[in-house]
Order: sequence, then C-alpha cells, then structure tokens
Amino acid sequence: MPRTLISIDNACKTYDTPEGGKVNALKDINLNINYNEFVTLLGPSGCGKTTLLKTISGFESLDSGDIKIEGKSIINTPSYKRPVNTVFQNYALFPHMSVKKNITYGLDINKSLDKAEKDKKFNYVLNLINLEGFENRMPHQLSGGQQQRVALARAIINEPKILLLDEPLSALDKKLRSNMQIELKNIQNQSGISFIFVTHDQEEALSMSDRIIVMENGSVSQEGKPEEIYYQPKNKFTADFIGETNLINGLVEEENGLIKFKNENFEFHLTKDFQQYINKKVTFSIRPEQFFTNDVPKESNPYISNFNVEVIQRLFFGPNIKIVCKIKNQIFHCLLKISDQETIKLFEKNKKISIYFDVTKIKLFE
Amino acid sequence: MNKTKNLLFLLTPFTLYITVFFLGPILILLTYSFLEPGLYGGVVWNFYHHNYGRILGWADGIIEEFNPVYFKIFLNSFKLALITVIITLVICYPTALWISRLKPKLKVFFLFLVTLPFFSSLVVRLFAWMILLKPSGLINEFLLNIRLIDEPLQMLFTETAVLIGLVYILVPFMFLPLYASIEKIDNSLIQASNDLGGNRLITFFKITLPLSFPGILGGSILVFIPSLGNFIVPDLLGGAKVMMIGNIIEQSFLTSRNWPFGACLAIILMIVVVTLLYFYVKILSKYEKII
Ligand SMILES: Nc1ncnc2c1ncn2[C@@H]1O[C@H](COP(=O)(O)OP(=O)(O)O)[C@@H](O)[C@H]1O
Ligand SMILES: [Mg+2]
Repeated sequence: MPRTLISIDNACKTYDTPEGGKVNALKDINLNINYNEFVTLLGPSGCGKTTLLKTISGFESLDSGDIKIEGKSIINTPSYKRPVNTVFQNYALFPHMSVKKNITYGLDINKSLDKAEKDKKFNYVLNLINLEGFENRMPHQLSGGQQQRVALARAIINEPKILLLDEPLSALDKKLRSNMQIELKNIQNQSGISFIFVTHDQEEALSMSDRIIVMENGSVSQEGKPEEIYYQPKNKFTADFIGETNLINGLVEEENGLIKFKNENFEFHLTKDFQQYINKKVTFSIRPEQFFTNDVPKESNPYISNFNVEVIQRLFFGPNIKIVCKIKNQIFHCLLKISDQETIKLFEKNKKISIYFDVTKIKLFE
Repeated sequence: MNKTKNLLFLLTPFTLYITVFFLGPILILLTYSFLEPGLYGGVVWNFYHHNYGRILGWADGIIEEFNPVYFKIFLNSFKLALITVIITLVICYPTALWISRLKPKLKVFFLFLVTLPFFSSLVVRLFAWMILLKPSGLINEFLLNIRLIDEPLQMLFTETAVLIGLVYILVPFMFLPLYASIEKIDNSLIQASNDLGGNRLITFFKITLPLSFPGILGGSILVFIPSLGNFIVPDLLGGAKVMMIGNIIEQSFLTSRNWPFGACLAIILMIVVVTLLYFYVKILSKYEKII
C-alpha cells in the first residue's frame, strides 16, 4: 500500500485578468501523491499546470481547498518554509553567483551544516549531474543543458520531500532532452524524492512517469499509469491528447438483436459490451497502430472487423509505415509494422486494401 | 567597405557637434589654465603654471601663494556630494523597489510623478525652497505658531540647506537608473530564492541588492558629479557661508575676473570626474557580462 506524501483536496484558484475578467485556473482539484513517486502533470498550455505547482510551492495561494504534506496543512506556511523545491522553467539561476554558490544557496541559508558536510553534499550532487570541474563557472558560461542540471542540483541538494519541475526540458534540443529524461529518471530513483513533473509533451510523460495526471481546463481529466492512460482513455479529450488516435462520430443502433455502430460512410457490429450506448450519439476512438492488414480467420477471433479502404497517402518511417486512407468521406490513419521492401508496394496510392481491427479494443465516448 | 562609409556618414553630425561644442571649449579651458591672468581680466599669453601651484602647492610665493583653502573647499564639495549620494540612495531605493512591484498602470503614474519636477525651472524651485527655509518662512512660522520653538531657526544659508537643495534637485537622477535596474530583475529569481529557503530579508541582501548594483553605481555617479560641480544650489541656499568648488569657479570667472585660475579649477574638477567615470565604466562592464 503506497503511503500518501502530499494530498490536494478540493483546490480552487481563480485569477483576475487585466481585462477585468476571471479565469478559473484550478477547478476543484483532488490529488494524492505518494512517497518516491514520479508523477507527471500533462495537459495543453493554459490548463493550469503551472498554477497547481505554484500553489504547492507557495507562490500562489488557493481560493479554497487544502494542501497537506504528511497530513499537515501547508497553505499558511510561507514558501521559504515548505519542504518543497522547484526547478523553474527558465532555470532561474542566480546570474551573479558561480555554479557552486548557486547549488549551495539553500545550504548556505540553512546554516545547519558545517563546511565539511556541505562540501560532501555538494560534491555528491555535482557528481550526480555530471558537472565536475564546472564549480567556478558563472551561469552565463554554461550551455542550456548544463544550466538545467545546475538548477536541478540546486533543488535536490536540499533533500526536499517533493521536487516540482515545470517543463524543465522544454528549452533543450531533442537529443539533449532524451538524455536528460533518462538522467532525471535515474536521479529520481537514486534520491527517493517524489517528483511532480510538468510537461505538455505526451511522449515525455508516457516514458518517464509512474503516474500521469491529465489536466484539461483546470480540472483533472484522468489519472493513472501511462499504459492505462494510453489504452483506457476515459474521455475524448484524453484519447485525443495522448498519442494519436482516429476519432469518428456516429450512432449506436440495435438491429435484429445485434448492436451496430453506424454513420453515413460505414457500419460495423459491436459486441454486447457496448449495450449501454444503444441509440446514443457517440465518438469511437481507435489508435493507428491498432489496425492490421493480415487477415485473421473469423473462427479464431469472432470480434475482428474490417474496412475496405482506398489509400490516399503513404509515409515511410523505417520500421513503420503510416497509411492515410478513406472510405467515402471518412479518413483513417493506420500505423503498420513492416519488415521488408516488398510489403511497401502493397500500399501504393489509390490501391484498395482491407484493414482489420479488434472490436473489443476500441473505445466509445458519448 | 560600404558599411564603414555609411557609418562615417551617420556619425558626421555627432562628430562635428562634439568637436565644436565640447572638445573646443575644453581645449580653450586647458590652454587658459596655463596662461598668466591679465591685470584687468583676460589673459596674458605667457606659460604660467602658478595657477595650479596656488591650488596644489608649488606657487612662486611672490605673486601667487599656495592657499590650502582650495583644497579644503574641494574636500568639502566631495563631502557634500557624497552625503547627497547617500541621502538620495536611501530615499530612492525603497521607493524604486516599491514602484517596481506595482501594477503597470500605477507604475507609469508614479514614474510620471518622479519626473514631474523636470517640467519647471530649477531656479524657481530653488527660490521656493528659500521661501520655505528663511527665518520668516513657512516652516519657521509654523514651528513658532505651534510653539515648538521660541525664535526662528537659522535654516537658510547653512550646509543643511545646501544638502536639502542638492538632494531635492538630484533625486530623479538617482531614482531612474535605480528603478531601471531593479525593474529588470527577473521575478523568478526572487521566487527561486524563496523556494530555496530565503526569507524576504535574505532574498533582498543576496539577490535584489547585488543585482541592482549597476543601478546603484549609475545613480551614484549621476548624482555625485552634478553635486560636486554645482554652484546654483550653494549660491542660493548656502549664501556666503557655504562654498563649493563650483562657486569658486563661478567667482573666478565673473567676480575676480581671473580666467586662468577659474580654468585651472575647472580642469582639476574635470580630471576628478573623468577618473571617476573611468572606474565606473570599468566596474560596470564587468557586471554587464553577468546580468
Ligand atoms: N497571474 C495570472 N493572472 C491572470 N491569469 C493567469 C495568471 N497566471 C495564469 N493565468 C491564467 O490561468 C490559466 C492557467 O495558467 P497556467 O497554470 O500558467 O497554465 P499552464 O502552465 O498549464 O500552461 C491560463 O488561462 C492563464 O492565462
Ligand atoms: Mg506553464
């Protein structure tokens, strides 16, 4: 049973805009975060991720609701007394201090350690972020990735209970980014600190997190393990935001005891599991990689359905090929695995092909 | 090639202006400072270093004597200028800090207030101060009326009056550079300091103050230099009691009609100022790289 480190209860926050309006940045957020957990807040820009972090770090106050760390409310604790540290989106390194002064800033203020202990900790984190030999550089003499690591070291040296990271990798180029993703994950494992990591990049979220919290417009849209979020989206927003998906509108009908999904372009049979949607307007979601082209005998899996489509576009990615195809006016994206050159020929433009899918794996949303 | 030509072309008006109206007078001043004063004003074209001797200490002892009073007046001017810098800094720093945290609209309003005095004549404003400070002035009348004092205080024609005047006219020059550098400090740095355990006081001394150093330096220079050479304020508010270097220069030219001596004082003052500016630029360029 995981133990709760921080709990956020019914958190609400409204901003006044300069134009005189109001923005509900957080709408009744409820969240628990456990010890030693890597949690990601994922959502489009403006959905309230930064605001949520700021209320935890203490730079913004809540209108209502509570935040507890280890059972104790912290909403009246000033930010400098909270057991929380932040890695800022723009790093916010102190420009007039060396790397060493930056990293030991928290320890210098705290004054509870003697010089030897401080040096020991400093050397430990310097090693962790792989910047030995840079201790006397000034921030402007570092590259973006190095600055990012100094910002990280400056926060974790204080051994906070929770580390907040606000899109810490967004300013880095792709290669550095994927290196830092691995490093961050390692550092989290080694330090045992709970990370609350903010990103709008769904791949980053899927690859790094123990748990993902998908936010939409100030509310939690869904939370769960990365694979749950990916394969069991609870609503259209999550399905659309996480990964790529085909979203198709239509109607569920019952005909002669059989359940059917139907729209003006095509129809197919659904299983009994979809009974609740009968006579409702729905959107169904199917991921591009859930299509396949090799026929499976109906006897082995009665839930396989198929579409006869026409190829309009073909994009070659190496191990995969993406096919854009259509039935009448309905466009589909399919991602197919390929392993030889011959297979590619099957999907030339204007070719008529059949694509198959497992009806039990699709998701319907009202 | 073309670029160089363009640059030359663009710089021509400025170069001409600087040469005619700045370098020219300075060269004249420099030349005069090494000439013999004429008996009834003007100059005699003889090389004559005793002007400097009178001030710095190698006069011939017959016509011109070394007089330590000039040294003292220099020192006193320095002292007054320094005190002015300190007072304006103490007044402006908290104000600038406060205004920098206001909403944009209020910021503009307060910045306007700070620059408001520029819209009226300096001399008129100093006369107003004379009226306030004189023995039968508003302040004395008020204090007498509430019976805090029995006879009028001598406020006008004192060093305090000069300091009040200098501070009054130079406050905007301290405020503006200070405000510019405080305003520039990224709020996330303040938050980062809070986040790492720094309370307001620690954050101020470790982050805000060092990062506003260029503003402190710039404001100090902008206040110190005009204070040092000022003559209107000590003239009007200091009377005959308070002499600053600017007054002596003014008197040499206008009253005692000893132009070479006035030129000599002006040159020495300028050397001091240029030296200060040199160190200012040097320190600032070091900071510029960082911030
Ligand atoms: N200081 C503020 N004043 C007014 N509105 C704000 C302020 N900060 C954020 N907002 C608004 O609150 C919403 C959430 O913002 P934010 O938490 O920064 O989103 P995210 O980090 O997910 O991009 C946005 O609509 C934003 O415009
Ligand atoms: Mg944000």
